[in-house]
Amino acid sequence: MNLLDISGLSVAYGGVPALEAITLSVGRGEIVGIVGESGSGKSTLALAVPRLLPPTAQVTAGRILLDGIDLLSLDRAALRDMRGGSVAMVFQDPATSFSPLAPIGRQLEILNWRDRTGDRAAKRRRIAAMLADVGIADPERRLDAYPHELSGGMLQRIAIAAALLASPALMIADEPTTALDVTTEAQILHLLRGARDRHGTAILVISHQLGVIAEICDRVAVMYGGVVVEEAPVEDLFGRPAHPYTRALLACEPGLLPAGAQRLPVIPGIVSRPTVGCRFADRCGHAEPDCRTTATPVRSAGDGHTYLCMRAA
Amino acid sequence: MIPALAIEGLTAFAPGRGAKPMIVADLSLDIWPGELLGIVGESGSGKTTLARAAIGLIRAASGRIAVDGEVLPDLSERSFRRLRRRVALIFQNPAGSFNPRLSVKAILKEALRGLESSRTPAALLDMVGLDAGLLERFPHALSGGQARRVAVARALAADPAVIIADEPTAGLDVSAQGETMNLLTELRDRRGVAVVCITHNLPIVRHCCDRIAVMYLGRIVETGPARTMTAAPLHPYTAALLAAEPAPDPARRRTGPPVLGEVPSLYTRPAGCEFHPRCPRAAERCRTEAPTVRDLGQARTVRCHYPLEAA
Repeated sequence: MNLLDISGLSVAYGGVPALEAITLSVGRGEIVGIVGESGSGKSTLALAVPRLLPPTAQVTAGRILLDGIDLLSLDRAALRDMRGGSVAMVFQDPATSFSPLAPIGRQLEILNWRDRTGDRAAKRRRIAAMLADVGIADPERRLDAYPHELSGGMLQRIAIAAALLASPALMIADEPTTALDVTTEAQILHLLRGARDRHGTAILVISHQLGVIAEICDRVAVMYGGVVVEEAPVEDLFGRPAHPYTRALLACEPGLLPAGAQRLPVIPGIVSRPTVGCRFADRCGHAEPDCRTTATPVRSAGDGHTYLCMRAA
Repeated sequence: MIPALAIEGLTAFAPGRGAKPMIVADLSLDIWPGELLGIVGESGSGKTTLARAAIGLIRAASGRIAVDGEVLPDLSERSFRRLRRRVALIFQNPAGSFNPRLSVKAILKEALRGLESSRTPAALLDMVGLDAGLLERFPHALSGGQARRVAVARALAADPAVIIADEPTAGLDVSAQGETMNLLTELRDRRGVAVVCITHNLPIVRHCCDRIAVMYLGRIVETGPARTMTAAPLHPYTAALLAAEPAPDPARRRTGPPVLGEVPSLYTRPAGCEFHPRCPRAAERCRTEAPTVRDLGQARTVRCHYPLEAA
């Protein structure tokens, strides 16, 4: 059984669909990436799993199973156990993940309310050990530091330590390196992979950066206009992309282009939301009239590799 | 050739009272007409402060600035007011820099006010590939791409010799990044204007720019043509920045831990070469003696005692 099984999940904001019939699974200890542009629905999906969507969002269809338990039917007590327990979140901006008013150690103690063994000193020692585990030097002293005294990279390390405190089965990282420098990003990505390797934590990584996805993910889902348009093992997605949108994304990736004084390729047009047919049709070079009028079929491009397109690859 | 913008020995400190760290440290840089120059570095390297100090939005402590060969008499607000017509700054979030109550036409008219210019708002829009039909629109009715173009049109009002764009691609999707960089490239090609692109996005700079300057703790540690510098960096810091970029290719995935530690605090600048605590090549000399800028030919300069081999 998969750790996380999302099936047919649809979410709307005030009647406007943001996610439509998303089906996605995450295995135990697996790192799955979700890549897409802004407006693709990737952050809505990230927030839907731990039931953190704002009140304006309605889940209109679908199921989210974690270890076989339906997260959409949990009551308040069960939700509190799940959030920060079996499912932990790491957000984009580490500076806003912490309160500016309390020392880091105090905040981690509150977050670690599940730990009831031993006295306060013992609990603080365990928290310091977790900070050492994410590469914070001199962790005992850092417990007394306020967030403004720490760099963005250190705060994101501490946010990851906080997420790992309750040994979650699943960590959801929404753009975990977007606010960081490239040198810090490399360290955080190494840390996330290390968390999986050492603790067996499955990770759902949301990113718009193909480099981040390629660096740490086992499997990737590409989102466009609220649907998953392609899903594949990471090597397949980068090596044999099947969906025209995935191909366009890869063609626009500056890291794959040669150096020196050249123009960047662009995907013409803007994201549109037709009621039937392919969402990418208006921007797609291969689109034919039936792409806009016919429901798009799911095709297979190999083992565990599916894509949503009228035209065969 | 005369530089479009010549910066010489520019030093700027952080604002505020008490011990003020030096953000830009005795920095010299020539920006040439018709070039697209990328300035890269980590946060805290002083990229944004350099841009702001160069046009007087932050008062520099010392230095000399010349536009098209005309040297500013001093670094006073009065001198800069004249300079700002020749050097335009485009902010990170251009849509947020518009007055929401002014139409596009009014925004551009305001930029043209007081200039002896025959240009019209419609002509400015035309320069950035926008239709005059947008003149009556208000900022909220513009798409993100249109707003960025209007910001560039506004910057063109005074026919600047230099356009400085601060993080023009931050927070944008790949496709929008391309549109923005291509617009800057067009301005360079069609108007011969010098364009400076300040960013932490190394892959974009590598692909789009003619020349790159790498900043570290307020100094430029390496300059060179984008192609040769990214193929064979001379400064170990440039090499580390390039190596830190995750490759969009799972076959080139890194296995070992990244080597580069954290940026040191500006309050305690390291002695000698300021990069030595993070440098894998640091030797005894690097701990005590600050390197000077060396010209290694082929338009390449480096501030390092032991630069890497050029290919």
